[in-house]
Amino acid sequence: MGKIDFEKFELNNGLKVIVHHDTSTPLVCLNIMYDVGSRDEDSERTGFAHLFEHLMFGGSANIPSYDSPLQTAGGSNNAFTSTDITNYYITLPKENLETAFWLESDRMLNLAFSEKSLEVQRNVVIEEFRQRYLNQPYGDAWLLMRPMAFKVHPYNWATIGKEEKHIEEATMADVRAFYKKHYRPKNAVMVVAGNVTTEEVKELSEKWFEPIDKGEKPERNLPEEPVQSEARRLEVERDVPLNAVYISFHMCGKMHDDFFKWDLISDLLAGGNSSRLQQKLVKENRIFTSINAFIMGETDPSLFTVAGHISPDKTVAEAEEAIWAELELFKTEKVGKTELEKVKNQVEANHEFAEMALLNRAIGLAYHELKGDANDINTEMEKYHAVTAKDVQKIASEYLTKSNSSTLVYNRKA
Amino acid sequence: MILDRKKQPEFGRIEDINLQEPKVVHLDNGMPVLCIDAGTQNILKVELVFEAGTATADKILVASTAVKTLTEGTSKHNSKEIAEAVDFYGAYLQNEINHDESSICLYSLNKHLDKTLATLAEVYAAPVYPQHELDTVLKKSQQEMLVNKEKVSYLGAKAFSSALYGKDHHYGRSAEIEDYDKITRQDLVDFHTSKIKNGIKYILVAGKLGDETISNLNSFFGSEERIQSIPVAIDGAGIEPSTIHVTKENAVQNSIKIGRVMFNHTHPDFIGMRVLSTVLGGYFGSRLMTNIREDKGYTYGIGAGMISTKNSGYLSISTEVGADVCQSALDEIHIEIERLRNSLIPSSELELVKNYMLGSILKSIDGPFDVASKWKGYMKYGFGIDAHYDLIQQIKNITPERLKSLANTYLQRKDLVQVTAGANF
Repeated sequence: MGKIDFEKFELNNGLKVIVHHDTSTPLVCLNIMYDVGSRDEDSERTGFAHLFEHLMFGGSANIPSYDSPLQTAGGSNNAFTSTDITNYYITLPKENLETAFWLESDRMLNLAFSEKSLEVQRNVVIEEFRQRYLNQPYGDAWLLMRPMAFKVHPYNWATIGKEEKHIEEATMADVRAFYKKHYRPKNAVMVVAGNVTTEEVKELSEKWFEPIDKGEKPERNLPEEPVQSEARRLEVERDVPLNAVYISFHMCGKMHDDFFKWDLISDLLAGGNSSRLQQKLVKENRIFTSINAFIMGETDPSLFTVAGHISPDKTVAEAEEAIWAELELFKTEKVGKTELEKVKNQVEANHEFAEMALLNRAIGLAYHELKGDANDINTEMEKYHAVTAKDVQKIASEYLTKSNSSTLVYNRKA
Repeated sequence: MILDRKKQPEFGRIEDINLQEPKVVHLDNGMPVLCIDAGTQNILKVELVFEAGTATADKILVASTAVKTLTEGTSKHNSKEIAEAVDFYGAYLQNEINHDESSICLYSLNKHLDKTLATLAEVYAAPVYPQHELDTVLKKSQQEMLVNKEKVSYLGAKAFSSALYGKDHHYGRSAEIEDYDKITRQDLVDFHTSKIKNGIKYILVAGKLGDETISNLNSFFGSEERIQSIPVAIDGAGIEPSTIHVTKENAVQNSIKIGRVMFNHTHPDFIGMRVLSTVLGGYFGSRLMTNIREDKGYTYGIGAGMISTKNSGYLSISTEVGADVCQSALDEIHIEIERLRNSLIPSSELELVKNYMLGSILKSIDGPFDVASKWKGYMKYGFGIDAHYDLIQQIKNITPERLKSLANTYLQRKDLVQVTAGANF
């Protein structure tokens, strides 16, 4: 496994900067991750972190258009928002790196909000809501599952928000306050990756970012989700081609050592064609036409989910029973040595494939630094290797239980 | 010194873009292997490329099913054993198919290559297409199609290709649910023999090559005599343009597809049209994005681009918009096309597009896998490195006058196909 080398320093205003040196590419990535996601929203004004991400492209204090100067310099950019973080990245030819510093520092300095831009982005986000969540079969699964699984923690809603209305009602004052609170140097990590030296990056960072006011690091006091004590269930009728079932279980957060065990459990169940659920429930018994098991990878304690589309000639009850039978196996039988070795090999290979991309390395470093220490990216593999068959059994016995489960069923409209 | 934040820092134009040329070696039986030896990670991609696209089989779905089910059982191993063998080493076997070509691709850690190549060689040479596995796969595909049929984007795309080429043409046809029931095991066995086993054109290897890589390939792919099938000739001309609406009640969004049959990358106007379609809808700041997303908020995204196939090519403009604003969005798209015909593109905008396109090309060949994909695209037309330099030069040199003339030649409203899918409007 290749280690990802980096150097880091901090500016006077608290902005953390990481430099990752890679001489094999003519491109450079500048990635800024802000420590704000939909979990930081007010429950009555959801979808805000993501709406805000759109507004970040509406022009800043000194630069009316964000995209044109970047494209003129041969660069491209994008951004994404999750429940935990908001991330912005630029890729451009190395020679033009300073344009990226100029653009990103200006929008950290101050945004130039206009009513028009807010109005338009509200519409764009509502269209995104419709395209991705409402106009797709099963598109509303997380809009239904999250409120069932989370009663007090803000993972109760998806990043897109609870409903269109919250986005429609966003005001200029809300937007300004959100920016002022979360978009400060102390609340961000910047990674510059490519054929650049730390001296170069330091000089550019001091020039463009250091003059920005420090601001406060916002405090985060999120309510802890109480332990679930009874099975929860929601059945909906939708215009979907096949019945479907989603079963979610509470699990630990991403920084917990058990996280790696959960990740391997999801691989054992559904990672690759030889996985248990794929072989038994899709190929042998044909109870499902497709099935998956996955973790969300969220920072706070989150969900582990098994979800599948049910064959037309099987009932929902048969499908649920089949999933539970597979989960029970984890509790009663230890996972074999070869099978465990297989999923560890898969994790190792996946790391190598993912880390080919410079941008993935940059995002990984930023995320780990934001959560504590960028170097954790280099020790993850050891944690996977340390997982034993006994660990898997213990987690399964403790958490893959009816009382810790939330079940969502899609019944096909007759 | 006071920092001038209003002024963009100095930047350089992208002048040259180097594209690594593959090193070509021949195995003992003459099989060409194109090698892109580069990269930082100890991984390899090995791709077997066949002249076996969807258009190369007369019966619909035969080609895609034959490629997709290569891994479902061989004379030596069943489907489960193959999956185990691949998964155990953390490797992936992926298949790809387009109209003209298909391929099966192995992604593997270098250290396991001798084992993973054995599986690749086996699924390529000796699939048996067991009936029960075939049944599962076909049933699953049928179900996936049912899911897709609920999506307006799918309905739109299906109607668009038949509006371009005709519903019986090998590029224009698309499968229906019942077509899956007509596929027989023998269809697949025959297609495999004629088009896959004997249709392999070359092997593409990308990543960090080791000392043993070529000899490994030789032992698996270099001994059997090569028989090459004859490429299928396809008439790439389209049919008369039409306007079509596919109704899907209660859709909250409608899919819009506008375009026309044109030509492929070998045509002298292709790169010019690529620039023109980029101005129109090929990047975030494009005219369509600026107008329809950023100004009107009708959509989450809209795009335009040129698609090049072996025997044809077409322009595609595509979006999903609120059903209530479908007509307004269509009107705006036509206004933007008209603007390309009637006025010269301002030089600052064209400069931006050129730089953006050159930046995208640079980005599209970052890393050995991307470089390999680029060459796979070029190999389809028999292009060498000159095609790459020509592309860069043409982008750099194109003028607003030439783009306007292209728009007038090719973007007349009467020549455009228009497809909408979703609620009636």
